[in-house]
Amino acid sequence: MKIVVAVKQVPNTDNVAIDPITHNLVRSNDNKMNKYDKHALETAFEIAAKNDDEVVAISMGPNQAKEVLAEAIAMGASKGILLSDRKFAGADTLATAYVLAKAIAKLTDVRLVIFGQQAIDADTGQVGPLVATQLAWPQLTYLYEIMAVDAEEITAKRNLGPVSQTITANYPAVLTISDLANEPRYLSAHRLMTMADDAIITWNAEKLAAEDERIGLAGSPSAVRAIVEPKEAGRQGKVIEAASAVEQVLAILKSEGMIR
Amino acid sequence: MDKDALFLRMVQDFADQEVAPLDMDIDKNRKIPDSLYEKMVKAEFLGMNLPFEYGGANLSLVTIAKTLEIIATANASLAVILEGHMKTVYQLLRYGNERLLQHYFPAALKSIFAFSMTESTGGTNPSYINSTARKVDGGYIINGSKIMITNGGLADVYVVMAKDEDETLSFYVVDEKMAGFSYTEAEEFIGLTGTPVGGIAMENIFVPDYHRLNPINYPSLTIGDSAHADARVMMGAVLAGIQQHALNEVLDYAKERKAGAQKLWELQTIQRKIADISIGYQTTRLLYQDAALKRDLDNPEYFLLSTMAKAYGSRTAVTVGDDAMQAMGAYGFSAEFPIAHLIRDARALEFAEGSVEKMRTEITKFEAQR
Repeated sequence: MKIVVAVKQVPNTDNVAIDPITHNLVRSNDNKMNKYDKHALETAFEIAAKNDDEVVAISMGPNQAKEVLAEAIAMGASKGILLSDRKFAGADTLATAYVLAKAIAKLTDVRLVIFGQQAIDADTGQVGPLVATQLAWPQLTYLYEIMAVDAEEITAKRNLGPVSQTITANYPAVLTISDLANEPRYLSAHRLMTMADDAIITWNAEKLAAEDERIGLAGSPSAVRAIVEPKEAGRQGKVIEAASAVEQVLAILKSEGMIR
Repeated sequence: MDKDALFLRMVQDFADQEVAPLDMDIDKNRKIPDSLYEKMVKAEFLGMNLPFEYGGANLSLVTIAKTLEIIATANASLAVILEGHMKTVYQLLRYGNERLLQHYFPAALKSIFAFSMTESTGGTNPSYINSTARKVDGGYIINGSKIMITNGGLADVYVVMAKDEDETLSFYVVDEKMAGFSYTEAEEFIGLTGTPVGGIAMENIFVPDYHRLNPINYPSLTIGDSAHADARVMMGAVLAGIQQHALNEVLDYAKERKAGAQKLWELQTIQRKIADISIGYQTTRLLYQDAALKRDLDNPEYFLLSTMAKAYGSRTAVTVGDDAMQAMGAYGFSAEFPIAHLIRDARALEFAEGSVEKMRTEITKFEAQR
């Protein structure tokens, strides 16, 4: 069966910039694969190895995004599909998910679609769940451990901060992977250099039979106005008088919802 | 699509994540940790110049040298381990016959190969060696011993230089499984402490005919000179990496530390040092990259440039380390900072792969005979 991994090319910088006119992320020439996607690929390879699955990488982006598909193939994917069209430009998470879902729907025998839990440029974490909804498939998000990959279903643990949740879903399913899940393998130079010319193919809007009003700027109900760094609040402290200290602390903890 | 750039990005990640954090420990413990060595092999660094059919990446020397610079910036000892292997594979590719490559190359992706010329009687001047190769039916009998082999003890396969009966210097491949092969002493060098260096002894080792390298395959350089040339390009890259490391340390320090109201890097006397470090690094880098490019293009002038890369890069790297130490004052002198081992690492290259004095003789001969 196939395991599809969605990968994204992001700027190679910690500082993301928004174009004030288009409200889109400023693209640069110095790019890299979103780090969470590497964890997603690693999860895919580990599952694929046990089940003799084929790993297919997909990405929506400009022609340059072929680089991250090449990287995915060099890490072990059998092929890459670039979803690229001028009409896709300016897409928000909803329009992006629509295109990805259309592409995934064209593939047969898909067991899983795996995403990194978020992209380090926009940090929304929305695309994986949006694709699952588009496809009407179950979603298992923020996964840090795959527990079992059985004939009909997969069981995994979600990282919800202080709480961990074990969850099971039938195939086909969408997973999003946390950076706690694994240590991604490094790409193989041999695979990179011997990659076939047709290992990466491109699908455009027409190939996907994508509806114009669902893609690109037209298909994007949301727009990013600005990305701001939250100002440091500084340490908040309060001195409580000794006599009634315990009662006061209890009252504060109750009002903050930390105890009942 | 620039696949070499994608590969080098991976090398940078590997160096930042896996190698750099262990630099001080490697120098102190005189060892590359087994886990790092295994990761290095798993990431296929030993296959960089192997042909595709043996699982290699068949990369250009330009890319391989840049890789060694990146690794050396993190830890020079690991870069030199790789250099020793690459150098040996290059000579097998150039001078080995098909049968020899088919026999040994499958192992070259996972285990280290080493090149051995030096003996106690001759290093920089190879004609003073005593190892011999005597022709017999179907092969040769090798006798002698080698010292100070880069990766000696770690490598399983050794290309060794021996004198034929007519005093010609010839090269043969021996391996540790052969009867008569043994390991001799390991060296305890004060720099590049993570790189194993040791000797071997060969007592009546029989090698079949096809284990002999054929100098006719690439007549413009003797096998020894070819090995030195390739090594010097890569050592130039290692020296650039050491200087880049020193530069990074000095800048980190000088941008933070203040002398009164000014940051250290704003003071002229420190600026002189930082500028000289920067220029030294760039010049070494340009020399080794030009040498690498010329080698890839089969331009014989690469021999001269590689010799310059080592001659210039080695003394410069030592001076750069010294300047960095001075700029950082007592902190540069502290065992908690890497500056001291950067100087010790660089100092080796003023005699390894030929002394800088010999480099100057070679450069002058080349210029005089233009």
